[in-house]
Amino acid sequence: MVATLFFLLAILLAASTPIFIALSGSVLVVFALFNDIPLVIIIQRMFAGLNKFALMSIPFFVLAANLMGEGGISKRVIRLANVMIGSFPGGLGMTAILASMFFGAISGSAPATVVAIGALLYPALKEQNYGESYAIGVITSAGALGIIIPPSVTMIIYGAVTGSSVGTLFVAGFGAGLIYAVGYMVYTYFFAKKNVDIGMNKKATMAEFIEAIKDSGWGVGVPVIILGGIYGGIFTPTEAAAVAVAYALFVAMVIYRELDLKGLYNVLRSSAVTTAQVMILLAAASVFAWILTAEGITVAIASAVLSISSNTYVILLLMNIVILIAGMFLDGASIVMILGPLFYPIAMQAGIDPIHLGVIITVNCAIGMFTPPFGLNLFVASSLSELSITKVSKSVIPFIMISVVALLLITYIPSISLWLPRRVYGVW
Amino acid sequence: MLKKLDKIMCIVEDGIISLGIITAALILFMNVILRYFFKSGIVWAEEFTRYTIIWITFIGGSVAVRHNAHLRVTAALEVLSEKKGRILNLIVQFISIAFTTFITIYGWKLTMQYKATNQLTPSMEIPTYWVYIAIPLGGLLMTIRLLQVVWKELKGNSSEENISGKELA
Amino acid sequence: GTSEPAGGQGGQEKIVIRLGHDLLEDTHQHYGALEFKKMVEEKTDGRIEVQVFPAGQLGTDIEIAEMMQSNAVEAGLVPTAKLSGFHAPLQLIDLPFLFPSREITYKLLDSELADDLFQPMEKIGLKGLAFWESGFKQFTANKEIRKPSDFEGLQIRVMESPLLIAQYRALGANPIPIDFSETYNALQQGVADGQENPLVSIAAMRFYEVQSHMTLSNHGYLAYALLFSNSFWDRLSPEDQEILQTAAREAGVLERQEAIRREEGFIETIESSGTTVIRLSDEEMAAFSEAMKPVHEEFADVIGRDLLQKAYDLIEEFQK
Ligand code: NA
Ligand code: NA
Repeated sequence: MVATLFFLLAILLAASTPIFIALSGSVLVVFALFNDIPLVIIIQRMFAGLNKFALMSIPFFVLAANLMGEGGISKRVIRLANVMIGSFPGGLGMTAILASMFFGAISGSAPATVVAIGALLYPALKEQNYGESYAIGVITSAGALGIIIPPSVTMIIYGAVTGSSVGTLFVAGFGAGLIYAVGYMVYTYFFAKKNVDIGMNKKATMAEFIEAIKDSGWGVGVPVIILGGIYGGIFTPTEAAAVAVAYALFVAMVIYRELDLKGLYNVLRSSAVTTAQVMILLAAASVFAWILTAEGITVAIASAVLSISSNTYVILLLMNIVILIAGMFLDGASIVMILGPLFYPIAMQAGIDPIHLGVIITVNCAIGMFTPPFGLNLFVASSLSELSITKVSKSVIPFIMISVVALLLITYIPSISLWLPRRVYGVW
Repeated sequence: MLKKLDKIMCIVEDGIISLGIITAALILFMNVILRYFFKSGIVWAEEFTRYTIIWITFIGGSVAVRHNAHLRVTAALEVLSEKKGRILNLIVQFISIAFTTFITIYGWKLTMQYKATNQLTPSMEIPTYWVYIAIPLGGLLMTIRLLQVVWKELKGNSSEENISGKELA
Repeated sequence: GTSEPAGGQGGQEKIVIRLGHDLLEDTHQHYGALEFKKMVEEKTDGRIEVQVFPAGQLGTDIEIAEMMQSNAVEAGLVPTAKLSGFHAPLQLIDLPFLFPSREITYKLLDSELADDLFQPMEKIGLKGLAFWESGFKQFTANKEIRKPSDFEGLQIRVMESPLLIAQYRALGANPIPIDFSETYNALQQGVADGQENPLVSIAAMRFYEVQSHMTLSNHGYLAYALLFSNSFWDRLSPEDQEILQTAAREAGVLERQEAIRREEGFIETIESSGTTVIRLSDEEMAAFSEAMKPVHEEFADVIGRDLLQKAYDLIEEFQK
């Protein structure tokens, strides 16, 4: 049954069937052939996959970003960024990395981050001659790393599953996040140096600088409101997206007056279609995740892989591999709930620190989101950039290589994660 | 006559999803304003948002079929000759029709099950089947749109448009 | 895997029951589910196999209930507070300060009242076997809560339930429904000032890390119901039904004992984390009861006046 399921999925995907049909269609066939489970379960799981408040930030960030784009906000913010960092090699790329990671941290959703940051910075990166491959690659991969940086829902679930302190996990996430940020930024620096077209902007004059700040004042309000509102406890990350919509609507229609009613209608419709493209995938992924769980497939595969060795280093490597594969189909929270209880006792026996394990699992979940052939970030990025999924998959390769190196560092050097929490909380 | 029907369908689909997304955003926004400035709030705001987005997903799914915008891995089509690519595309359309037909029939079954049990939603306390009916409705619309695509394909004047949601604007 | 037909006719055919809940493995509810599994498998020599799926692996609580309705999942352990949309009278159990003590709670929920609550649910595809529990709910907040007026203007996170929303409105607070998984962040960032939950959830989700005070109020009760898919149940032989029914009750007793056994430890953990634990005097408790009582009248029609009166009468009888 397992073989049939994955074979069908692979065939359907390769034949260019819409991904949501490949995912839930292969489950449908397997249920019909091997099981007496009522087929309405597929409809129920599609509904359940969408019926989650945390996902609701996706449509509203899409809408906010499109409003900013059509309403003249984005171009002003991009101009400001150009004036401020345009002359530094890789400056805008680095901005995209930091923005993605911190935005991912607060939105809690990797696909939402790709959409929110990508809609603004992907065109900007292309305009600065980074090329579409780097531009979409950096957005796709950096957008996944937010779950490492607190506040992280994945870590909260890990804390609940294993009884580890969420506060300590949050602090531990900073070390890992830093490694990734540095790795990506160093790559970006050399990438920009090598490509002579990038970062050739002359240093801006003081007059240009002041002009850009004045002109972009309203636009800069968007990140200020979002970050300030969330960290100030005024609204949840999901609500922040809706506030961003209202604000962008106001600035675009009342302040800049670059958006009329017809333009607004077009923005609404295209944002809703993007929403449908992405959300129907999440619905189908939830169907696939259900069969993996209810038939015990995830646990069976994980147990088989982990029984290969009892050596601490090998166990850690095997865990990395299992979660990377699981990360293709399941979101971070689900992975931690299903695999956490399985990995935790094995890791404790091998003498691995529980906080360290939490960081490793979280980092793995993040990487799984953008590893080809299957990862929600890849699909969302394709929808956003209108590049084929094959192209997007190629674009993330350098970032995956950096990520794997960083993952190995984090896995085998526990102090990267544990140094800071030990300073804060003492030795536990 | 059919053309006119198609036009009405387009307007209704586009209208529902456009109105839905902005209404949901503004209700969530109002909820924040009420809570922060007036220490009150719309307790059903969250639920309303979720259900509206579910409607947008399934009705928008049909709009996405219309614009050939559903995400898929097109590597095979890029490799194959044009003729073979067309045949593969046709096969994929038939697979898709089979699946959207399944969604329509079983979505309807499930909707009727909720109708029969009089189940209400937790916050708004509206019948649950009002939400679920988006699924068979979306399935039906997607099936009709797919049949249109196949019909055009077989007639030979396949639409070469391949615009994604973004380009609609 | 259920390649064998689950719940077939003959007495010898193997039956697989998948039992889902969305609690973590280290909870007394999961412990109870495993006891249930053990009892059933022992009594039937493994002819009936119970597979327990914890941590929402099969779906969240409402989703599990819905899957039971369409017989996609055979059994589930679901908080009754989440079932008000399925069967409104279940909200009886959520009424603040309904139960004067733990013993009376158990007596009431094991009495004929259980049949009154469960039986109508068969029409909507759910067969209730027994009431289990999460426990009595406590307040936590980032300020001291000793009297109802302390709630004035506070933003309190609640689960999506009209009755719980009304309960906090009665206290002058602003109830905000926030998803369970977003609650920790909402408390940490101050979107919500406080919340209510049984000790087991406050401890497991580590809400005490982001709350300065906890008031041991026991103001409400969070019950769980062990439910079966009714169409699956109807296909079982009367003997098998008897085995499952008995095991559901007996495992429920163990589950409740385990809940009580763990509570002291939770309070200790929470207190030693630096959270101030407030124990209310009888007068302080009575003030909360007084302030929240209007909710009983507000929901009397929804629950059913006869049923509510019957509950009051039984409680009075048990108190004697
Ligand atoms: Na995060
Ligand atoms: Na992946």
